[in-house]
Amino acid sequence: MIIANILNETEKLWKHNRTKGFLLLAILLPVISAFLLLHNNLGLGSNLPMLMLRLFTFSLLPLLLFMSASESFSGEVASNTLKLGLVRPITRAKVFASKVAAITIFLAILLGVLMITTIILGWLVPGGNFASGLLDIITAYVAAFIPIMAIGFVSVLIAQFFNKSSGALVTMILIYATAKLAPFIFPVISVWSIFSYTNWYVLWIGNGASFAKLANSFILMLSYCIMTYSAGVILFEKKQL
Amino acid sequence: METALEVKGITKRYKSGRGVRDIRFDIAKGDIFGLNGPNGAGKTTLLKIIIGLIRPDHGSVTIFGNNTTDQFEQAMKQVGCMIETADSYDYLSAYDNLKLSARFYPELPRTRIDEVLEQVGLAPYKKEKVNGFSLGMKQRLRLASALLSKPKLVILDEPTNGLDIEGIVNFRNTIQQLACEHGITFLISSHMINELSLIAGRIGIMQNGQLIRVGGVNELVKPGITLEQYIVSQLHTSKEGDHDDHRQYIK
Repeated sequence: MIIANILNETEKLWKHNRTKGFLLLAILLPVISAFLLLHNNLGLGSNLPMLMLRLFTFSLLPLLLFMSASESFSGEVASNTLKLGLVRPITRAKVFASKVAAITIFLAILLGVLMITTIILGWLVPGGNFASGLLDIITAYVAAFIPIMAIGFVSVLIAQFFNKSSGALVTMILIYATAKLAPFIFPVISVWSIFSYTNWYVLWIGNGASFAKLANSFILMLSYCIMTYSAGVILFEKKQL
Repeated sequence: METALEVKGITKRYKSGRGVRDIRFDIAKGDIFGLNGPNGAGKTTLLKIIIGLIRPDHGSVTIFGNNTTDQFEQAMKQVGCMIETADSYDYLSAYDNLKLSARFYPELPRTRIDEVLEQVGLAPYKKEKVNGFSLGMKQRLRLASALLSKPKLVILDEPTNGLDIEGIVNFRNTIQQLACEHGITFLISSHMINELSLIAGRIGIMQNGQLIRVGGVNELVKPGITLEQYIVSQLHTSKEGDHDDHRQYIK
């Protein structure tokens, strides 16, 4: 049953224009950026994939997750469609899991499309040979998936407190903006805040960081995922519709 | 006779003091059971508890021998339902809406969606997005969704809301045909007693969150008065007798 509902949730996400729009952005933004860089004789170097990854992990991917989580949970409560799935032969825990899985699948697809687009641009555009840094690019994109997924789990938890997608979305954006600004005043926050790890992939490329540091931060992200998922599923189970 | 649905001592109390209390009844396989009562009597709350949308404070629901608390998936495999407050995905077509539901029943043949759309009269509009549907068409789609899995128990909340005369007659014929030919059990909640009396074998009357009377349509009607008059008289009697008791419950 969980596979059936993952298919349903994925199909529902895909039918939203927003999802298609983000996918289009993942193709168009690198193309436009490449054009602008070449037009200004700056050359692509090996910067484009990392430049795009930085832009997407900082703003666009969290925004996509906030929108998807708020629509998939709070939005469906508001539009009275959440009940449709809950009265089928599937437990609430599985409905929750499949919604989270669908959001995670889209995150992976989007990152994949972005990575492939930027790599292809490197082959097609003069001066954009990324062959030497291909492994770094792939490593960076895979590593970037983990903290962004953890942010997705946090947004799914936040969505459980709202019965309208707009309220959930605004709250998520405010929390994200506050979490991004707070370390400037209280630097110690950046160690514990999951929102400070959006550029975690940087530690994986080049000489990178020590294994201990990577493992330490990975465990922190995993803990965030486990805690927010568990809290989210408990709240979802208790929802009275 | 096999019991399709057994409701035992269901109680749910909201912070406002409203809710349902100590509801007990059962429905035999193949019966059409009507649930009637004024607005706010607790009919929808009771139906939502039966299908697992609301957790009761006390009591249990058993569907074809499966308790909905710990055998939810097994229990709901037998159930098709249409809840008044549940809407279809308006950015999807009628067909795609049903396709989402059909995925939960891998044993259904591919033709089943077309079949059920034909049955409720929506076949010509199957590729149209639901956001362009009238209230009656949306109601037909909900009915199609409830019947899609060929359930043994169908639970319908205010099913004729928004339907025109032709739609109501078609609905009635469909229900009676499914009950007679396929032995499907129905639990239908409606505040329209005349409509219920035309299809239901037994009727339960709810008021202030209590099931105040259950009986066959013929048992409830006394000589010289209509079912409508009988129910109004029952509600008045219950209101007077139950007033203090209800106040106690709220406290």
